[in-house]
Amino acid sequence: MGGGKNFKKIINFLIILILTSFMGNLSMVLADVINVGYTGPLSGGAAKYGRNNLEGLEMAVEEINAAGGITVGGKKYTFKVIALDDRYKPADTVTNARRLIELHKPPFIFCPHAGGILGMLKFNEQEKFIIHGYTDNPAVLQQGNRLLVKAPMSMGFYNSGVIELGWQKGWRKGALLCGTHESGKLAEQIFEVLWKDKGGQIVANAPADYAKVTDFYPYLTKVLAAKPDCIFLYGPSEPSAMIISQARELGFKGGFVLGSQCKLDEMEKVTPLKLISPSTGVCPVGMMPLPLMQDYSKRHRERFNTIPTSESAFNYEVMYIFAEAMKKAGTVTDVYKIMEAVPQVLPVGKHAIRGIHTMTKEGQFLSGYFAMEVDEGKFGKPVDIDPRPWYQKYGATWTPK
Amino acid sequence: MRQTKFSNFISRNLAYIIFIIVVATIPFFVSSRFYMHILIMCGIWGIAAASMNLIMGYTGQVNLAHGAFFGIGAYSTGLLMLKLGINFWLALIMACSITVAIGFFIGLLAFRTKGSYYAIGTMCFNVIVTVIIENWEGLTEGVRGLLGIPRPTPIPFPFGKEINFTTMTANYYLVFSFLILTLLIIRRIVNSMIGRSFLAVRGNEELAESLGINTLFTKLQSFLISVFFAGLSGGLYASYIGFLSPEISDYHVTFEILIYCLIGGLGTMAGPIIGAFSLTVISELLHGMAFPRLVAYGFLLIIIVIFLRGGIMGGVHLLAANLFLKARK
Amino acid sequence: MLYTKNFNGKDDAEMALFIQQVLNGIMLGSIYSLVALGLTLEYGILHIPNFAHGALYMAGAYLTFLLATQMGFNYWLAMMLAMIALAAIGVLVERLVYRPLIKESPLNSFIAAIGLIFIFVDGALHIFGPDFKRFPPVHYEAFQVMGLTITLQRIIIITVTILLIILLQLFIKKTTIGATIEATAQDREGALLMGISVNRVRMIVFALGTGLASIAAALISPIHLVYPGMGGPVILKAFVIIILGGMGSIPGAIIGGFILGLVESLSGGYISTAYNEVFSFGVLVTVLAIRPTGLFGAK
Repeated sequence: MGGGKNFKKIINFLIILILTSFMGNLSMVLADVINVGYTGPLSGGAAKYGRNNLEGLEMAVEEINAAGGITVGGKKYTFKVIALDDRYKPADTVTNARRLIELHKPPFIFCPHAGGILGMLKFNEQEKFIIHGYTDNPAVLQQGNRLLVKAPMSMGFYNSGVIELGWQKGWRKGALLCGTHESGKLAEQIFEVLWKDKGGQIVANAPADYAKVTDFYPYLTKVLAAKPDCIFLYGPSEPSAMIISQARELGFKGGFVLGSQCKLDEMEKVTPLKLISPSTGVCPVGMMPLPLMQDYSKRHRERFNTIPTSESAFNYEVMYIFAEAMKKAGTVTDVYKIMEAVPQVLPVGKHAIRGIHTMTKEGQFLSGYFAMEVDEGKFGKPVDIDPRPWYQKYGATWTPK
Repeated sequence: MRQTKFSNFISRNLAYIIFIIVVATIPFFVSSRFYMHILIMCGIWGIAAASMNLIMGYTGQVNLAHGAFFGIGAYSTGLLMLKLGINFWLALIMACSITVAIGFFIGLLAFRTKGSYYAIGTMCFNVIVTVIIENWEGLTEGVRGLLGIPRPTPIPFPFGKEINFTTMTANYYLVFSFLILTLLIIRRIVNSMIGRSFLAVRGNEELAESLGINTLFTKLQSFLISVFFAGLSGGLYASYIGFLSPEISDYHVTFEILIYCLIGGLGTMAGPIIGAFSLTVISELLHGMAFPRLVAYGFLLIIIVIFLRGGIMGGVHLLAANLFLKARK
Repeated sequence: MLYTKNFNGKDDAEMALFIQQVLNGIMLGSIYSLVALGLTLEYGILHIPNFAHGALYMAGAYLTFLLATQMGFNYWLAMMLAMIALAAIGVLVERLVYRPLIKESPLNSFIAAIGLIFIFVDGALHIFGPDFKRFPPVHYEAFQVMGLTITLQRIIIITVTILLIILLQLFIKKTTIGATIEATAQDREGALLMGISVNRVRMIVFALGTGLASIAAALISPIHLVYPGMGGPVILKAFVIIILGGMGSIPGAIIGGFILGLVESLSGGYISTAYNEVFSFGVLVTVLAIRPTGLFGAK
């Protein structure tokens, strides 16, 4: 009978599926291979962000292995990246992390979203793995967790430099058109607080879901009606570039203050620099005037054929930091000892491409960055922004209230 | 053989008794926290799917707002615990009541429509709830998310001991106790007169109306019970994961729960549980493949839906019928 | 080409702002209606909940993009070729996925549609990568008339939408094939008895519907970006429009589309852009509360 036969077919199919997937699942704990876990969005709207993070990690691991791995306690070890897609859902991150612990026992797990990081912080001390949390959300640092490091610095810090350049250009009346995602909302609040602190005005606010909106005209019309000098943007690069393009179509002649998520080199592919001018933004990682970064940038492009980003650069450097910390601590299993060694290995020599030089007691890595102007169709000179004044004034866990 | 009341009871409830025994003894065989975590998530989604099954499978109403109620239950529980310091058990009951209250208004409005209009209308409610949760930052912390939701409050025990919920095993028993409770209650309802009216509405609404059944009242009843348990599963999720963001009320969550119900077998008691369990497990197994995971998942859905009419349980019933027929020959 | 007119007084400026927002709303409405056009045939008339319509729309966008950039075809030619290819894919989808489910509850087709979405979207992600791709600039000239701005591409979108609506309505109401489609929709067994090949009808509807999705994608992509998830936001609105207008009514769907576009644009402009989905979906809920079968749906 039809149904019964089909049922048997399905069962057969599922058995084969289970068997073949088990072959990929066999406990991958080979003697001299250290597994490094990654759980992040590899599908869906944040896929690009997830991939950027993973690229840095993968490249570091490939290089370390090519150079012969690391030697700890007289034994040679190589690394292996196990990457799992969690579709940006914290529940899936927890599942992935537990899967990694069960099958691969990684001493490190990388994750690029606060929800997932917070989920894992509940059991990483118990299960003994160090998390690199790539996020701007300071809440992760406030959980008192001893096995967490975080490379990206406060969004307040990153955007303060950009705002300062905008202020110096004489812009006073600003309008907000930021994304409605987690970091977008944070950026919107930061822009407002910092701009008003300086004495500027916010004349309009039209938050938009950069990934969902098909036509930005209604948002821009609302914003432009208030006649701003500059518009604050925060979201993925390409939609940001589209917003600029459409703003120019609508006759806007003012400037743009581009938040830290907007990468000028990616934006340039979508909208010509002439239209982006005048604006201020974060200097793209590939354009930073640092020899180590320039070198990394070239290798990244050759390896992945994509533009290197802060996401890839930071994760690259953090992987090297972890590897060096293992060497210094003299162990590949005692994560508390490795964690203690981390501050002692900074900066990691010729792999310190972002220049991480210190770690705060909560696990925040400190590094600098460059801001940049775009004028008359050309990139300006990168302006070095020192983190210390900002951190002295506001501290590592500042959020706008 | 003499049929005692006891042996009658056993044979009618055999499946449930076996299920309870299996559930109760699993933690003795499974020590891996990974597998326990998967089981707990299956349990939570199982409750959500079982509740959706009531309104969709037994009453025939395509309600696509289920995710919203899951989210409302989750956020209510989380907020009551975090901002008002209420203990988990009271917060859970209050959260379910809040969910039912909101469900009442949405249901009243939504049931003015039927069929496809009802389906898309409820989907719109789902989106509206998600957007409100995202933007009402003063209440829900918006897109930044609600973090630090504590695990269920320990239950005091005599002799100065207590049951606390820091271990996987404790959470497992918690979730599955609620799951079994949910199933027993829904089964009771389905087998009662109220359940008959649900089936009548599912069969032919106009006929039911003409027979004197107040279909609006019936549909609303089914809807509210379903929504209650959706909120319950949300509350359990909130406390277990400890972190909430507006996406958990998204219509994609509704679709996932719908998939569990349908693949498992809509309109059967075991279907939603089987669906939640098998699809969670399959999704996990697919991680090991080199092939793009979601593409494989998509193919699987299509194959199952085309070849297994009535889902997995449908296939099981057919197989059982087959064997039964063959045995009789 | 661009010039701005200076306004005297605040009232003029406010009036211009309002009209620009109305124009934006019509623009948005056209986009939504254009995407929904194909879906009105599949779902509005044949009641197949083809949620994968958005994924097919995305496939059309990528195909047009590829033809226009990698192979250097002219924009309009690329659009036509992609449309034909998508029509073929639509026929395949109907034959392999929806036809076997013809006798089942529509929920099964809905699940199958979700499966299709996973396949197409994740497939596109792995083939093309997650990046947003920009269409090469086409018809980007902007016109400013009395302080209002619109670009040529947008004018084309609005014009083609209206054209297609009229053509589609004529097709359904005035041609024999159209009549057979409607007959099949109303009573499948009856149509079979009359000698109508239901399978042929379904095939034609899907070819048309998917082809229209492709045209919509080709027209809309130049003003936005091409990426794997681009179908998601529009498909929900497309379903809402069809219900808002009343199932089975093509003019209804279009009016629904424009209502949605205007509500979004005006509520965003004057109240809050963050809540604009609440307003647009709220409109549907309100309309359904008053008229449970949509604006023009049969009772």
